[in-house]
Amino acid sequence: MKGFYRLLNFEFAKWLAFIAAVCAVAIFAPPIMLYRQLKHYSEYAVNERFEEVYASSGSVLLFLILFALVCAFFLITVYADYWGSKSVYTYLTLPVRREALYFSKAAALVIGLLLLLTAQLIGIRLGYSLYESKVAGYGDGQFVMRNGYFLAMVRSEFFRLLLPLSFSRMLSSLGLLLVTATGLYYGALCERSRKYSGFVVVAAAAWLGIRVLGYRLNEMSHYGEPTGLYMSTVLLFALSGYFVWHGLRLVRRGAIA
Amino acid sequence: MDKIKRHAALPALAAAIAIIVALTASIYQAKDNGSFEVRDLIGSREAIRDVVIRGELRDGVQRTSFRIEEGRMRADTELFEQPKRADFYHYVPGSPMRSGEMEYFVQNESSLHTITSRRMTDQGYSIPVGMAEVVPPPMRRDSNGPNDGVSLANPPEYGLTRIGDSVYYTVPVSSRFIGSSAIYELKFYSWGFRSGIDPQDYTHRKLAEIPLAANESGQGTGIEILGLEAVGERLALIFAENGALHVRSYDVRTGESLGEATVLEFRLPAREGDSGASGVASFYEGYEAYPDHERSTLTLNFRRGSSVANRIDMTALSFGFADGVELADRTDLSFSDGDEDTYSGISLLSYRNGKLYAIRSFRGPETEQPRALFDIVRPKHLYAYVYERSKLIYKGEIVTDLNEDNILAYNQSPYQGSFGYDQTDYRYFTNMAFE
Repeated sequence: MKGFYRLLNFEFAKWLAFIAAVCAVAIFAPPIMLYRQLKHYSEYAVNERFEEVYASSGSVLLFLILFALVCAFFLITVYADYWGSKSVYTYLTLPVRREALYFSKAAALVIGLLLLLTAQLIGIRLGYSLYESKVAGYGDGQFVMRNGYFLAMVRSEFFRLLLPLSFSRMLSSLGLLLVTATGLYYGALCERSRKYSGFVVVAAAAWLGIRVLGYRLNEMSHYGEPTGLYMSTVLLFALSGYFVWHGLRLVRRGAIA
Repeated sequence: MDKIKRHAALPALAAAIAIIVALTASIYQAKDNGSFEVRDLIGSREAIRDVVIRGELRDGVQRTSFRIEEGRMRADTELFEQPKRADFYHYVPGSPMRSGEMEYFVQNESSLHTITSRRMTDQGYSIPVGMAEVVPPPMRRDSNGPNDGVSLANPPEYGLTRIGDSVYYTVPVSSRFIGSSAIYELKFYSWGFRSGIDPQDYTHRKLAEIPLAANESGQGTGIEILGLEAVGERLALIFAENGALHVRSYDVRTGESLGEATVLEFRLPAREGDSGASGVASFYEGYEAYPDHERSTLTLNFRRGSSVANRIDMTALSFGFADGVELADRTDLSFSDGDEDTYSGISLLSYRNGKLYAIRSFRGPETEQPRALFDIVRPKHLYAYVYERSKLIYKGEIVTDLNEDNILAYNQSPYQGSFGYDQTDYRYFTNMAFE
C-alpha cells in the first residue's frame, strides 16, 4: 500500500500544474464568456434563461475542450515513459506490485477528471451569480427568477448530465466517466503492447458511450419511452471492468515494455 | 512545495468529492425554496378551513404537490427521474370525454353518431378499444327554413357519461329534432371489426325514452337536450324546455325517472320562437359539470352573456340528488379578474355545507405585464372563492413563482415571428380537486 501511495502521489505530482491551470480556466472563463454574452442585456431586450445564455456563450464547448485536453495530457504522461530515458523499464523493475503501477496512473486520471468536473460546476455557480446580478440591475427586478439556480440545474440537460439529481442518472454519469477513463488507458496499453484487437472493444465502448451521451443530452424528446438507463449503465460498468481487468493483465505481464 | 507534491493526490480527490456532494445536496434541498402560499384578498381564511384543496404545479422536470388543509398550505416538490410530457387536459369541443383511464370520442356524421372508446397510456397516446353507433332521431323538415344540416344543442360529448364500467349516451338534440330520443347504455364492439359483427348483437339497451313532441310544431322554443351527467348511481338529464332548465334524475338500472328539478328564467341565446323578454341575460349552452358522488350533488355552471366588458358572468346551479332532484343553490358569479386562460386554465366548483367553493384561474390583463406581448405568456393567477347564500365571503389567491417562467418571453415581439411554447418549460397547475 505504501508503494501504491507513493506512486499515486508521484503520478499526481506530474498533473499538478496542468490540472491547476485547467481548473482555473474552468472556473473563471465561463463567467467571462457569459459577461460578453450579457453585455447587451437590458430591460428592453429578450432575457434568455441562464442555461440558454450559458450554452450560447460557448461554455459547454469549453468544457468539451478542457475534457479533451485532460485526456490528451493523460496520454502524454503514459507515452512520456517511452520517450527519452525510457522510464517504463524503471517502472517495471520497481519493488511494487504491478497493480500499483496500473492503478496509480488510472487514479491520477480519474482525480484529474473529477477536479475538472468540480471546477466546471463552480464555474456554473459563479456564472449564475453574475447572471443574476446583471438581470437584477434593471426593470425593477422583474427579470430575476426566484429559485433560478435550482431551476436552471434541473431544466438544462447539460447541467443534468454533469450533476444528476436522481439515482439512475447518477449511475449513468458515473458509468460514462469510468468507461472514458478506463477505456482511454486501455487503448494506450493495447497500443503499447501491440495487442490491437483491444481497439475493437474500445470502439464498442465509445459507440455505447456516445449513444448514452446523446440520449442524456436529449432526454426531453424521449418522454415516450421512460427508462432508468440501467441496461446501458450496467454495460458501461461491465466494459470498465473489462478494461481494468485486461489492462492489469497487460501491465502484469510486462507486455507494455 | 515538495511536501505538497508528495501528498497531494488524496486530499485533491477528497476535496473534489466533497464539493460535488455539497453542491448536489444544496441543489436538491433548494427544490422546496419556491414560494407557495395562500394570500387572502377578501374575507377571512376561516371560510376555507373546512375544505381541503389539493393540486400540483408542475412542468416537464418537477412536480410540486400541494394541499391546503385547514387554511394552511403544505407543498412538496418531487424531481422526475426523466422529463415527462405535459399532461393537462383542457376541454374544447371535439375533445374526448375522459373517465378513469379511458377516453371516449364522439363523431357526428349527421345520420350516425359514432362513439369510440380508447384506453390512455402513460406515453400520451391512446389505443382504440371499442366502437358503438347511435342513430339520432329524425329532424324536422323546414320548408321555409334554412337547411343547414345537423344542429345539436351542444357538442355530442355532452351527451356521454359513464357510471362504473357502463357508458351512457343521449344525443344532445336541438329543437329541430322530432319523434323521440332516448338514453342508451352503449354496447361496444371491438374497434376495427365492424364488418365481422352482426348489428343485432350490439343493440344498445334503451334506458329511457325522451319524447320530442314539443318540437313537432316548430313553434316556441321546444325541448333541447343539453347533456347527460352521472351523479353516484343516478343519471342526470339536463334539458331546456319552455324557457326553463330541467334536470331529471334516472335510476341507472331500471331507467325509471326519480325526480325532476326546474330552474325558471333560463333562456338559451338567439332561439327562434323565443318570446324575447329583454333584460334577461341568456345562458350559453356549453356548461361545466361538477358531480360530487359522495354528497350526491351536481353543480352546473353556465356562462351568461355579460353586458360589462372584461367581466365574466356565470351562474352556478347546485342540485341535490339524495331524494329525487332538488335545486339546492343558485349563485350568480361575476369575475373581473382577467381573461379566461384558454390554454391550461383551472376551473373547479363544489357545493357543500351550504357554501359554494370555486377555484378559477385567470390570465392577467395586458396592462399587468406590458413586456409580455403574447397572450399565452401574460401572468396567470389562481384564485379561490367561497360564496354563501349567493354572496362572496372569501377570495384568496394561491401565489407561486409560476409567472417567472414567462420572463424569457418578455419583449419578444409578435412582429419578429413566433416562439416555441412548450409546456414542459413553463410550469402549470393541474390535477386540482376538492377533497
